[in-house]
Amino acid sequence: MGFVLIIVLVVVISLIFLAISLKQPQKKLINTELETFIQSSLKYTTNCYESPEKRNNLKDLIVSCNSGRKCLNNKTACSILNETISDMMKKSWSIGSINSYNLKIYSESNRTLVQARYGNCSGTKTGASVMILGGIREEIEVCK
Amino acid sequence: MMLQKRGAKYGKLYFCREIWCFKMKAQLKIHQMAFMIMAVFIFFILAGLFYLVIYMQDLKKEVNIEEKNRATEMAGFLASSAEFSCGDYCIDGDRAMILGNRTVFQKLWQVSSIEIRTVYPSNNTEILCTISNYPYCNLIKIYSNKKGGESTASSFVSLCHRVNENDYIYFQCEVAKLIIGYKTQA
Repeated sequence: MGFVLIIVLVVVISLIFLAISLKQPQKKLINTELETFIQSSLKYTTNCYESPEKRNNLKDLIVSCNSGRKCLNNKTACSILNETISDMMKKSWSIGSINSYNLKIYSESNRTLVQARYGNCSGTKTGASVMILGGIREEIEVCK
Repeated sequence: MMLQKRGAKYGKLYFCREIWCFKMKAQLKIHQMAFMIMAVFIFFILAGLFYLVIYMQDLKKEVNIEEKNRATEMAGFLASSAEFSCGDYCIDGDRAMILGNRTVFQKLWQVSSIEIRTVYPSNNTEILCTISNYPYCNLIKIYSNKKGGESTASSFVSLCHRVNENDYIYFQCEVAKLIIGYKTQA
């Protein structure tokens, strides 16, 4: 009888502890890696010369692509942007550590300017979106 | 006859007197209680140990998370510090090369190591930056005090350096990773 009483007492105490520990708010894990990737990649100096003394960074190149401009080497800004983004994504994200990625740049009118994607998502998906200029925005999704 | 009947309950002590039988019963009760107290005591000790192990594991996890957070914050702090920064998420590579190896800065960083690794455009082979090969390299070591058992936290930054091209000086930027090493609890 005494033993049963003790067991009941212990169970009640452990249930109280469990309830208290479950009530504690869970810590939010915020992944800012993707956002910092977009922000830092926008400063990347591309091969598109706007003039002999001005070399476009990625942000300028996106704006040029949106306006349908060309670079000094007569290539369209969009084609250089496409090449740069694809190459950058391949080299920046080591494929072993992620399943897939999908990067899209949208114009003000929601038209897709550039898209770079790899693989199919089969894990946890995280993403980030950054407004570049006006209504132009860049979105990235990575699956780990 | 009455005595014999009572003694019969205890097998061998068939011929016990009433007082002896009562003594035996009391001794058995004391033994039972002692074993019970021992069992309860051991149970509580085991439960306490179990709780302690779980609590210690959580504590180690929390320490590691805190260390990682500190390292990530350090990455953000370094990228925005006046000594190295050239804007948001931007590190001036020229300044990092000159200021990085100064011992006065080493006291500031409460981490094991600080490195900047170029990820795009970059070769697969690692080329450590020195004064003689900079900027044709992909790894700048700002500070290193590795003693083993470290983990790393990284953050993307743009690594910029001044370039003189056709008498025009401009900032050329690359995508890099700021890698902070920190100690972890095993």
